[in-house]
Amino acid sequence: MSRISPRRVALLALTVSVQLILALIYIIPFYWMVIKSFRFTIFANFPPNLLPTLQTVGNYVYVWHFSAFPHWYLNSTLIALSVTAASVFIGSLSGYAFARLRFRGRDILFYTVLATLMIPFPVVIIAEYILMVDLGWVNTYQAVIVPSTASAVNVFLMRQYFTTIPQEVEDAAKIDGLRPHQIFFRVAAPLAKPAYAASAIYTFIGAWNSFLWPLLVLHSVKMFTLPLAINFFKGANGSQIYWNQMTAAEVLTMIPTIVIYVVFEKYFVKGIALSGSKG
Amino acid sequence: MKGQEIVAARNINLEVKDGELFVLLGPSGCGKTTLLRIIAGLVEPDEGEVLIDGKVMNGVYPSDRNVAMVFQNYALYPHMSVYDNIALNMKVRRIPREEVDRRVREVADTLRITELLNHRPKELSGGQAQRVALARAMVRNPRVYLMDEPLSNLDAKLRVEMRAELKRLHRMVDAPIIYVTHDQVEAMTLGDRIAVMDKGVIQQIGSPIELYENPKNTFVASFLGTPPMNIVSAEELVGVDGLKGLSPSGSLSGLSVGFRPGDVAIGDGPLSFDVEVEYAELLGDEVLIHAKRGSTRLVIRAASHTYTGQTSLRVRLDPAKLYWFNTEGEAIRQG
Repeated sequence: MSRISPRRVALLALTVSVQLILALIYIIPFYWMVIKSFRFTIFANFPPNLLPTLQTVGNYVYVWHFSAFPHWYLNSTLIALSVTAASVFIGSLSGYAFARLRFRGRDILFYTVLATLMIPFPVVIIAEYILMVDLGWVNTYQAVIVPSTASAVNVFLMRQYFTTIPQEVEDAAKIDGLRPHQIFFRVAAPLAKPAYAASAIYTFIGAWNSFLWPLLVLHSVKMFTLPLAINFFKGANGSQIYWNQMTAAEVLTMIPTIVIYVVFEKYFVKGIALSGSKG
Repeated sequence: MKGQEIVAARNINLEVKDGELFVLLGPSGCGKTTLLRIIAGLVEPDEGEVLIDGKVMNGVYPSDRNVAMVFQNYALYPHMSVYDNIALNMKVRRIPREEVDRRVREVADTLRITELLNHRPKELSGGQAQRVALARAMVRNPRVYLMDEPLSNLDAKLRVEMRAELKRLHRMVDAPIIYVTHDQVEAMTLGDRIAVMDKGVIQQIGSPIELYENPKNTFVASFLGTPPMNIVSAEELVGVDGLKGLSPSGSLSGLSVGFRPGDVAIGDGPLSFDVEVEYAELLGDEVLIHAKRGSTRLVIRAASHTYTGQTSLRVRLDPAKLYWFNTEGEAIRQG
């Protein structure tokens, strides 16, 4: 057995403590949010009281029963599911086309789609808003759903995965009598399940958490999604934030994403691995 | 990606007959797989026609050509059971369920894979996967079988077994089989006729024995036979007693002499010369002697008892078993 040098011990200690500090920076706000949601006091004091206390579930009851929370929940669910279904479906079709079909300008088109990833959303936000106004879509669900269905990330992710499916398998399908669209639905798509799962999860969480765009295009309160609705717990005139109710609303908002993360954790990792893999 | 145009195969003109096992033989990258894919309809040729039963197949969708293909990597559908892999084609054609079932079981029985029908491809060994791939081709009763190096992923022992199996299946079907391989042993043992390809061009077509005995050029000569034919520049053999008299042009300049390793004997006599032994491989009752004459390497196959570890040998050529090639490598026929 080799002796571990003091230098290595010091290095290890440093690494672990940096990791610990980072972890705390991430975890403490969540932790505080959860315990705050079970407290009576509406104020947030500094320094925060981090003792684990369970005083009341009244905040949850209030949020669920005395606000339009269930309705907003439904809005969010509906929008996130629609965006996910449409975006993953469209992404997989175009990803497949970029991976397998041969047509003029394919690669230029693909890199153009990829290049849109480099443009920050705020740059196009005004143009997109004007487009919504012209279409008469302001304050409609489709204003939130339709623009999100074109996702360069999903196109990229799906294309990368489709290129890994052996060409021979698709050739065999051609000889077996499947037409191109049947090859997609009966061979390529079933084999790309991991890519579908990864992009569905990313898209769902992105749509669920989306704030800025819904804030711009949704005006009436009953159309709101959860991230917008949380704002309501600031109190009637905004002078008083009801921290305990607001955190309860936040915890409720977070639950689906946490459940998805826990259930599909391996796909998250896979998704990252996929998008990084060579095509 | 834009790249330079690559011509994979050119001026190919061949005809395959019913019941024939026709082998396309050549080194990797010689265009044989491309040719097979053109016949299958997976690739459209820039020029020329593919005819099956006299009908032009250009532009016809692969499945409508009624060809079946067995791929090098089996190309089974990983998400389907063996049963569904075999049945897919018939399901697509909406053949009644009972008929599909009967035919799948029949072909599974022939190929001895009945107990694998509910397995997924990833649970199969290489040999089993290859049988399933063959079953998928046979169940359709195609007009032509196309096989792309079907045995190359199997280990040596299994390859010999499957070769015998293929021979058996070949006798059971009437449709021609076009078989691509880079393995000359496979080509010799399976083929009724062989087309040897190199650099996208067919070098020679003929029965295995024709190609072996009358190779048209040095490529065919050195590609068939293990170990390959020795091809020595005749100038290296200047001074060998009696050789000049056998030369078709009466001189040794610009010619090459070919002789199979088994057609060289250890010993003195006419047409004999000295070689330096580099190493010898003992294969049991025979020995392969790797030797050198000047800058030329050659291989001699001899009975093991005739070689006793000498570092230099005198060897003798058989005058009836010499091949002569010109500077272009083409065989010169002797009258």
